Amino acid sequence: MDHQPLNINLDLYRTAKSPVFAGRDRGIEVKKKITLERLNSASEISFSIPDDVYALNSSFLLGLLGETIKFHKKNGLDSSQIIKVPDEFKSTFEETIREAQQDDCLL
Amino acid sequence: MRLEIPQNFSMIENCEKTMDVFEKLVFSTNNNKVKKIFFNQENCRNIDLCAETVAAVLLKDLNDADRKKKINLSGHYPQDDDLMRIVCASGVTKYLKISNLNPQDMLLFELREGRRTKSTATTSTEKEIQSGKLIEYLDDCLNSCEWELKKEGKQYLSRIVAEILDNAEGHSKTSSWWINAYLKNTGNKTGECHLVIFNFGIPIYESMKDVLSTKSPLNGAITRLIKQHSSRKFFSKVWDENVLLTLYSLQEGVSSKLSTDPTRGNGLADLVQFFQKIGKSADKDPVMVLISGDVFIKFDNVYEMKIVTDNGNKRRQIAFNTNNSLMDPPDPDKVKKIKRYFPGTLYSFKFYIDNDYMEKLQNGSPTT
Repeated sequence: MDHQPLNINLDLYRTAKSPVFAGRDRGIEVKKKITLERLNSASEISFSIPDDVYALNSSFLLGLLGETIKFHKKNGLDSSQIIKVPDEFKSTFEETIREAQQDDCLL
Repeated sequence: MRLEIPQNFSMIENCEKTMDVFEKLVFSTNNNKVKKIFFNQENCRNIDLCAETVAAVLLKDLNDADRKKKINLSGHYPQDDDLMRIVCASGVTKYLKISNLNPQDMLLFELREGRRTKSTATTSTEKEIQSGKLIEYLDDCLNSCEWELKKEGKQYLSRIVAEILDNAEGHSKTSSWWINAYLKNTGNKTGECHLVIFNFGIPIYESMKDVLSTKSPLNGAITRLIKQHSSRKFFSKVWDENVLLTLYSLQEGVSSKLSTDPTRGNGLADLVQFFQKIGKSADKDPVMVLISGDVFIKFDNVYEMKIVTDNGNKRRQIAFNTNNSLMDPPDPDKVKKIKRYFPGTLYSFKFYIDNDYMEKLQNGSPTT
């Protein structure tokens, strides 16, 4: 556990300047690349999101952060305090937290 | 083979006769004796984009360079100038590269084929890329009438579009899906937009039937509903279990994949509501048609998505009857079994961008 802050630069995880990040499978692939260990042990997770990106769908976030949100919950941590999402994507992120905590079969 | 295209070549208004044309095209694909096809649109009085697009994809398949058997394609354009321009700009001849018209009064989203691609960490999927392009296109349509989508609007729409494409990929036999759209300016700051998304694959009701064999929370509700309609003898030639399952799949929170993913199942409901809200004009309502297998569902603002309370939970529902109740059969003009079979699922949207209506909407007093 390094408890280091982690910044996720989404520009590294797209091609064709796609303004949309969607799909659980894609989120899971990004999670694998970053590694679940780093995500779970980070003291803070923040995002660098290119200006032209307007869609960070909850399916993508669920694939990327679902397990980490469950990990936080299990360890009495508040995901909304650890994972910092820009304001414009906040409602999607809140939805993601709700969905990740709702049902075990999700993960 | 000479294919006489019906006067009303429309999946929205003349679905069965239009699908006859597709059946003949598929027959030609599988019949070695057919060497030539003459596609005669001369007498068409109405052509809608979805009919033209499906025909284009089927004809392209016949004309594919990889095919061993070559078929000679020819035909007549519609006599009507306006229809001819639509065909040249976004129909069969455009897709076959016979015509290359880009009229100034039309904004085109060229017909494109998407394909399920394997997800990787650093590569955007086709679904993400095309969702983005379609949102940009819809924004361009609004821009042409001096409106624009805010970032939140784009985010909202992208979620819906990505989910529809997700469903198209999930139910597709070929893992391909197609999108085509055009906007035609119809006056000062007004336009008529057609959008079609379809795939060839398993109809929605077949996927829904899989749910019945699982421990999905939907299972009990669907079984009760089927029993209700069966015991009250509601089922008929145009209203059967397959139609019921398809109608049920449209309700908020329902998806053929709900058993493994509760986040799915709102996309189509949201898209219908979006177009019902913003896609009106002063004298016309938006129309959306869903065709899956032999099920036809038409949304035209006669019946709207409304919030219902179910076991204390609020969700949106559209049952296409005056009580908005899924326990009663729907209006057979809007929801029915048809005599033809579309081997996949097709979504067709025809909506309007009307400056006057949008201004009223923005000021909180939309016309009805």
